Amino acid sequence: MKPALSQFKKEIRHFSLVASMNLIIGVIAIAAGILYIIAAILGLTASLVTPELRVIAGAIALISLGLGVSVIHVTLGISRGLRAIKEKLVAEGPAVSDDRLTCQIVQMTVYYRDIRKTLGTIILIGPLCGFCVFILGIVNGLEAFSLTASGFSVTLDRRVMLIAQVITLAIVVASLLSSHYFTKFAMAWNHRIAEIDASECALKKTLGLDDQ
Amino acid sequence: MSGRRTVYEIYWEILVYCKTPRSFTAIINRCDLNSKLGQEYLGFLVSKEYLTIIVDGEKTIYQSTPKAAEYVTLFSSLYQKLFDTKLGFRL
Repeated sequence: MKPALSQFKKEIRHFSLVASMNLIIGVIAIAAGILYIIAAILGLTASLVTPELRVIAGAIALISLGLGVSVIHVTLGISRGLRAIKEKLVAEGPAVSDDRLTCQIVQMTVYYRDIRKTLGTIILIGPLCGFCVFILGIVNGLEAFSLTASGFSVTLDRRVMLIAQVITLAIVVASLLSSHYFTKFAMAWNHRIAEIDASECALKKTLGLDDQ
Repeated sequence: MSGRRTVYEIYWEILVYCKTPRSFTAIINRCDLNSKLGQEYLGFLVSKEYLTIIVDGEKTIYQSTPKAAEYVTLFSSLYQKLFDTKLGFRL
């Protein structure tokens, strides 16, 4: 297999994995938001330390829900275009002609130009989504909270600490990782777009446009 | 192919598609161009002798010339080279 083809396939596979991870984070954020809202409606959040904290937790739950929906919407939009390229690549089989491979690369380049801004949004809202779930987990796990002039103290329910906090921490790490990989992807493609721009001189010359 | 393409990507697509003779309608449909733009691009490629016009009765068809191979090869090598660098995205 040509090195360019194997690298191209690998990148698309890795990007799909990261997009799937982002979708899972979005679903968890939505679930966490909805669960808190349902619990608040049923009055199950009365155990929270102060009423103010309940309001803050409610606001975070709503933000988490909104961010989760945004993450899913944006990631699905990106994945749709990528899936089309991936399917075409699979349909080509292992023996891809030079022209077909270049065609796929051009398609991916065009696709990247289209999703460039959206990718920036994902890089930003992914970790925010993770942090919302994490903060929601902490707020729900609070048993005591005191704020004084010298500082503040927090006591968490030990059972909640052990299970829920570890899970929410894992979600934060996953969201940061997915954001990191999206950034790497964007950097690699920005570099490629810059290389394409630089190579336009050679193409111009071949077409006899350099004197115009 | 649609989306934000450079003029060089459109030229390449037309030249590769016209390796076998194609009609004007087939070209603009395949390359997602309007007829005005299609005429401009085809006119340029014909003027540079990258495309030749074959008139078959009432039909006018376009075919890439051997001269086009130089551009197509250079374009392919430039784009495939993008994936040769180790900078590529990986997990």
